Amino acid sequence: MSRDDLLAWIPPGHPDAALAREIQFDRLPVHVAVIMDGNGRWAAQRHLPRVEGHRAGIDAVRDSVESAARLGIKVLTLYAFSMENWKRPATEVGTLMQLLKRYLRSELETLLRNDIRFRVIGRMEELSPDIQDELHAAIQRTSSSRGMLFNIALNYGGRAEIVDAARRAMAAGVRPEELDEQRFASFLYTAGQPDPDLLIRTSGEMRVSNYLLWQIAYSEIYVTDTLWPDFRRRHLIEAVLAYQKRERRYGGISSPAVIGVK
Amino acid sequence: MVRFASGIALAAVALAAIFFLPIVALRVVACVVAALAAYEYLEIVDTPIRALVLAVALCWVSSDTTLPPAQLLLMMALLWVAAEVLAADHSIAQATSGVFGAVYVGMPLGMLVAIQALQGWSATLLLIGTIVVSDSSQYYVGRMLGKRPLAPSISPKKTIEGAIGGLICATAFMILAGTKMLPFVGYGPLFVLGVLVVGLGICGDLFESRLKRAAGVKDSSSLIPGHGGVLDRIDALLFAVPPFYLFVRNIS
Repeated sequence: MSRDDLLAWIPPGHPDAALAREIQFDRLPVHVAVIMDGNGRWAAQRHLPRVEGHRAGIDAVRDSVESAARLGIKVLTLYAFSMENWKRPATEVGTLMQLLKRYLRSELETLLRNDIRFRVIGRMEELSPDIQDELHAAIQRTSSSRGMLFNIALNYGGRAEIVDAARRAMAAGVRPEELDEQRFASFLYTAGQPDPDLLIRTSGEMRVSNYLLWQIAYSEIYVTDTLWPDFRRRHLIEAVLAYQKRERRYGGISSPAVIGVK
Repeated sequence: MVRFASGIALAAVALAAIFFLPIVALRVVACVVAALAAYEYLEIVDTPIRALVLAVALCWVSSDTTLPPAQLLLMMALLWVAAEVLAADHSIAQATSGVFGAVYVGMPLGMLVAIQALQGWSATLLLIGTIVVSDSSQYYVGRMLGKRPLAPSISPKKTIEGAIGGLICATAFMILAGTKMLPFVGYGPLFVLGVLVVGLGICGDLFESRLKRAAGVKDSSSLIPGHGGVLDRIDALLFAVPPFYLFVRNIS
């Protein structure tokens, strides 16, 4: 995927096209992680039940996944359901699970068409068996795709992931002196994937909420006031542009500016 | 042996349908089962078989997750009874027992499919599993410890001890399996649901025995070798489905 590919997808004359032209395609974030927040607030603003916000959020997921793939992002990780979300009323959780199932069924063809590989991170075995079945089917069907990797975080907790990784390392018989950061990362759910370069959080909250705690060590964080159901291609491009204006130092110092040379 | 073999075959067919059939096909299957069960019911209560269409229609409608208004259905029932009484010159008792067949058989079978449409096969299996555990634990506990009859005039073999055993075992099953199958539902609701499903299941069982006793038949038909008829197999389920359905509707 490339600039031309993205521009071919955006209708000519659409305001997003001008934005897309500003992107430096050689400096794209490789991995973008998103905290999809604001479905409930979106619904409350319209005096609708919370579940209607989740329903509307599905459209944003659909748009973001395809936009990210067209943009040329290699890994997209969406935070759909945290381990703490079980505390919500059964009505809301039940609806969320069925929405997930419906999304997978209706979008599988789109994922395949865009060469997207689907993966789940989180304690999947604690979900309803029929949901697990549906997820396994989607993972299986898209396993030979070579394009963007689309992770969905379900029953996910950052600390739980680290605990699970520690358990797996111990079960694998790793000796304490053998364990370093690289080895440890190979026991995480995201083993083999690059760490997120850009973490997007919608609906203006300045929190990490137990998301990818290990992996976001050096991620650039971008918070937008847009509520998740309103999040579209334009907002993703804006986030990427904001990211490209940042200077990433990874704890070092920036190279001194050379005056007069461009 | 015949009973055992046909029981296994029946379970296999039911499981395959639940796992592999899309909702539309399941709705058709439910309507076929509703037609068979309604036929048996109408034979037992000696009512013209044409009321079978009511059961099938109500089954189809109830299996839709977007239910039409109840008033519309009740109005149709009213018209049916009126037509039977005025045009066909049936007694009111006979005309209404045709309508009741739809409520008794059609509605719960349709709701069973709606449960799957709303919360997937995890919910369907949880309900059917609870009924199966309830039926068998009632039988075995009754055989081991049973002394006092539960309803001697209706079903001489059922005992109070068996019913309590079923209530305890199947409610425990509902809670344990429920936390796996519907992990977002708490222990409290599962407990209430378990008691309701088992209690109403026993009522459904006795109700069907009473129907047959009134008509002086032993089995509702001999469709399933060793098991009797369709109605004999699903009697507990018919009463247990509605509360479970209302719960699933509430969490979807």
